[in-house]
Amino acid sequence: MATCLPGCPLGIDIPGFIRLLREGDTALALERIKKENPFPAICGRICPAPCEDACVFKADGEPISIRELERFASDFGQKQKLNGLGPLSSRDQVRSKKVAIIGSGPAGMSAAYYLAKMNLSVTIFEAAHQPGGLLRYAVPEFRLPQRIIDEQFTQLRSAGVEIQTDAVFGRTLMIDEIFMRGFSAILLATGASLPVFSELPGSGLSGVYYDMEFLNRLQTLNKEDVTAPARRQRLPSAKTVVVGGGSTAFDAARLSVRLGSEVHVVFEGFEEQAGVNAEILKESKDEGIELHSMRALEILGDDNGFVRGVKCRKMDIVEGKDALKLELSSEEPVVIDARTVIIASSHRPNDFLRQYLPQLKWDEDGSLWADAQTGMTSMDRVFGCGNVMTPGGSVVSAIAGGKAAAQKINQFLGRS
Amino acid sequence: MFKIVHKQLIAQDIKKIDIMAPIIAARALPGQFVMLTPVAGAHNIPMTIIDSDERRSVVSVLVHEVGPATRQLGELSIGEAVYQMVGPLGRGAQMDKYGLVICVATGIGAAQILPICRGLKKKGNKVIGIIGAKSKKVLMLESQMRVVCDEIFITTNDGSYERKGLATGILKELLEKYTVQRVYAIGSVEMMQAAARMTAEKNISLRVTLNPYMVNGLGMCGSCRVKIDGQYRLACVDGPEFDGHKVDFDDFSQRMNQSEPVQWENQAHPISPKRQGLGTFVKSLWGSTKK
Repeated sequence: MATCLPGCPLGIDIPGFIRLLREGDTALALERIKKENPFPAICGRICPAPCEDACVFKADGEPISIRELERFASDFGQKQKLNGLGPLSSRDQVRSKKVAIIGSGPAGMSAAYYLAKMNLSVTIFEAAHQPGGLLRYAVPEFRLPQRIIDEQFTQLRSAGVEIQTDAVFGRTLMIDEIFMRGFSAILLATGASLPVFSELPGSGLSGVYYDMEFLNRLQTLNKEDVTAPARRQRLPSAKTVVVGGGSTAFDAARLSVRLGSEVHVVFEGFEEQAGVNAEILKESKDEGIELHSMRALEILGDDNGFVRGVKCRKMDIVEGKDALKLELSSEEPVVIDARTVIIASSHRPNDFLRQYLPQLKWDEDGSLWADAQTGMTSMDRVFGCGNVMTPGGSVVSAIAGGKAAAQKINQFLGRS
Repeated sequence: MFKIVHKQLIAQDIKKIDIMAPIIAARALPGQFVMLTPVAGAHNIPMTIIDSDERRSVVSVLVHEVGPATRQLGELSIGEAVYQMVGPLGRGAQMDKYGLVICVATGIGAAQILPICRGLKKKGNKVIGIIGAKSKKVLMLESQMRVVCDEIFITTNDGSYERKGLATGILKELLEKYTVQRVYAIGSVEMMQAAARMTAEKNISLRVTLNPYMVNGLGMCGSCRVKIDGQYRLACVDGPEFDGHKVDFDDFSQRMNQSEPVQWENQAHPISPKRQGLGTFVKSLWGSTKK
């Protein structure tokens, strides 16, 4: 019984494509993956692989490397020029209804693909100069090369999706203007990447960055330039402490190591509870990142208001009722030296949508509200998908969200 | 797209650049800014829109050549295009008919105050402008300010032009002399902080424009967070103009401190003077003596 199947938010036929790979028919395996996931090149690299956690072989030790197999299939397809987005209806065909997608991150990309496949005319509006959203502006090059992102967009374009960059929704591109231009529906895929600002004492000191701030600063620069301007801003310095254990925490930590810094990750909990899979954890350790099971208490500053260290308290392993758990140790707190501190907290959507469209309803946890049945937000003809609705979601859940939203929009347009 | 149609040197190291951008020109409000990338791969620079002409589809920005990105922008010639310009971003300045308004700016802040003065004047306010500059060489936009303000005061720190002294000195005198409804202040942290103190005494409302370090101006990363009323707000989305009495200036000056050149010995990469040129070499020497 394949237990990995329910593990995949996209519902890829995992045993099926692995069987095809084993039989040597990689092209067919790729096709099988693409039935459910239009972007295997992306997921094959940065998916957190919930399927591997659910794998039957995990109990016996190592799970099957499903993500690597997906990557293998997509790399094979790329070499064989099979990486087109599959049979979309021809571009000449009259596409009666137009859909506007705000944001070109994974959710927007996936929604665009599925909507185009449903024979709708799709335009993605992206505020930045290059499409890709967080894939481009937060995922480091060593995990997802920019050329892979470019490739996906070339394919989307050839599938008939129009991509308009430099269009800031609500500033240069107004909502009534979109409807006036004949769009029948708007899909908000604006994401949620704004860090929830920390209450940690000393988080206002110089040299303290949030994960997105750090990744964004380094990502917006040219690859050749990445070290030079980083030097000027002392980013990162020789000693870095990352507070937090999510995937962005490890991205920031591993990027810092690559820029020559000595990195400690302070994370409250067991290693297995970190927001990354065992593979990344292992790689990080191999790269020389030290992982501490500690709670950060305070960021210490020097006389100039610069960071000089992080005060942490160790966590002790104690026996709980039915499992081991961690408890704050009574030992004296330790100070880890650092000149750069990166706080990797949780993320939320920024307030701009609230300001611009006060009619939108929001859930209490800060996510955008939408009707579960129709997928429509509290505004007529406006839909939502991706992390703006489920902050903190992974790339694969965003792709799944885009897919679901596309189906709901199609239903709505068919009805009205 | 985004072609440079005009460029003018208006003070030492300061250039006014007119860029073709029809959509931005049509939509810009006083106090809004654009994120500008001169060439691919350079830093994004947040720049206040100092003027926008809808008929000519042109927006003007003022570039102070201090860093590599601004220098790259200054080096582009007329006819060339900037790589990227996103905007207008931020909220426009609060603007209404108040009565007598004082607008005080120091340094590059003069560029930011000009569109606000213009907007206030259009609303029917009486506008008094105060510009503070280090010296006459770096004083800018004097004639433009003279046109839009009913009255104007200029101070230079070294006394090389008009009055010697600080802009806040004149602000203090004026606050004693007139009943002022509102003050707009843009410039150094100390100046805005002093203005906040003076206006708080007299219970006059104050608007300040903050210029923290910004990465992309779209509310993605939180680099430009500033503490307002005990809570972090983003200058790119909620600002850049804020209520001057609610800004936590201590926190703000701490954050502005981030790009000061200090403690080179803590660099992740040792600086090689050979590759970095004379300037960096001198700086690194200066850093090592600072210990």
